[in-house]
Amino acid sequence: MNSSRQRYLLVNFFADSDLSAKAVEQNAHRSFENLLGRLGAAEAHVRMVGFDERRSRAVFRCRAAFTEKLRAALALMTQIDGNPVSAVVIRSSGTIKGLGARVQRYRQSK
Amino acid sequence: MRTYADLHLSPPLDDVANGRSMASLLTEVNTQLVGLVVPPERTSSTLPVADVLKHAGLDVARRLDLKPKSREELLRGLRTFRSKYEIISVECCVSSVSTVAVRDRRVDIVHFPKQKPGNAFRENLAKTCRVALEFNLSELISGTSLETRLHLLRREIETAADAGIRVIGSTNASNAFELRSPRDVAAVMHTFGLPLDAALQAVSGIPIEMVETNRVRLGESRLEEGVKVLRRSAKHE
Repeated sequence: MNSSRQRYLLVNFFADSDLSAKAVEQNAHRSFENLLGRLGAAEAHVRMVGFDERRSRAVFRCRAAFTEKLRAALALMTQIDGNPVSAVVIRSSGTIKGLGARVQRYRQSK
Repeated sequence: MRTYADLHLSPPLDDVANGRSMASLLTEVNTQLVGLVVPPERTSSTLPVADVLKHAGLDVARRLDLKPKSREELLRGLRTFRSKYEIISVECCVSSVSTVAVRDRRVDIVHFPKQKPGNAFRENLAKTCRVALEFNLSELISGTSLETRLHLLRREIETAADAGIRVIGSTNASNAFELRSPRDVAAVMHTFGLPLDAALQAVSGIPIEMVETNRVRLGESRLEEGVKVLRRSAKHE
């Protein structure tokens, strides 16, 4: 298996308030680090590549071998900035196109 | 395409708005079957939430959570309610209850609450276990000391996997915030040591088959355990 293969996950965030892309990404990373540690997070290479603020949907990318772990970390997320939230993976695919969702590209500003 | 089941939903039975938001989320993640916790006093009345879930295209099975404090209470509960519910689950808080519950064929699911670690699912119980062991995601996403609960869950999953016990994954969600995709529940179980195939079966094949079998049993006319009615005389028809 090619170890650099990527997997994309379309994730629906159910919340009663508006979510910002930055908060979603930070909390998803924190949840992943809490579960697998920094080493695991570094190996998984998790990135949020898109976010639709209107529908609270995000596209995450990670190395294919870590897909289940990313799903688990997202499932264990319970809040974002103190507000209750549930993250549900709607679809998973090897390409963004395969997700069949229009989500605005998100660029990290670091 | 694989269809999924979540056999443990416990929403307020009259809150239709909450039921609608849960139903829309469940249908989006390809869930086919849900188990709705119905207390004994509501078995004969109409359930607004069940109607909402059915209207969204979900198959709803009635579930009873028994929390007996003694062996006698468990046996009495099974005798009274087995014929009224599609799923019967037993919460094992006392060792005398868990020893009987894991062997009794009338029980579908056993559950060992992580908040009360005194009575855990160990090898001695796994050897005689004939029922499915349930893992509830709600126990991981609420409460303190995640590490302790993760440790207990990992040990429970290892014991079940070693003994070849059927495992079931569910959410025990009472609202949409506690709800997760059954596929994600499988991912959590896989992360904590269950092989991926078994984890996927835990949220699709095993629960769906369990409810189908129980529905056949409930529909059958039986005199007692193992004795079926084949035909009746003309005056009874």
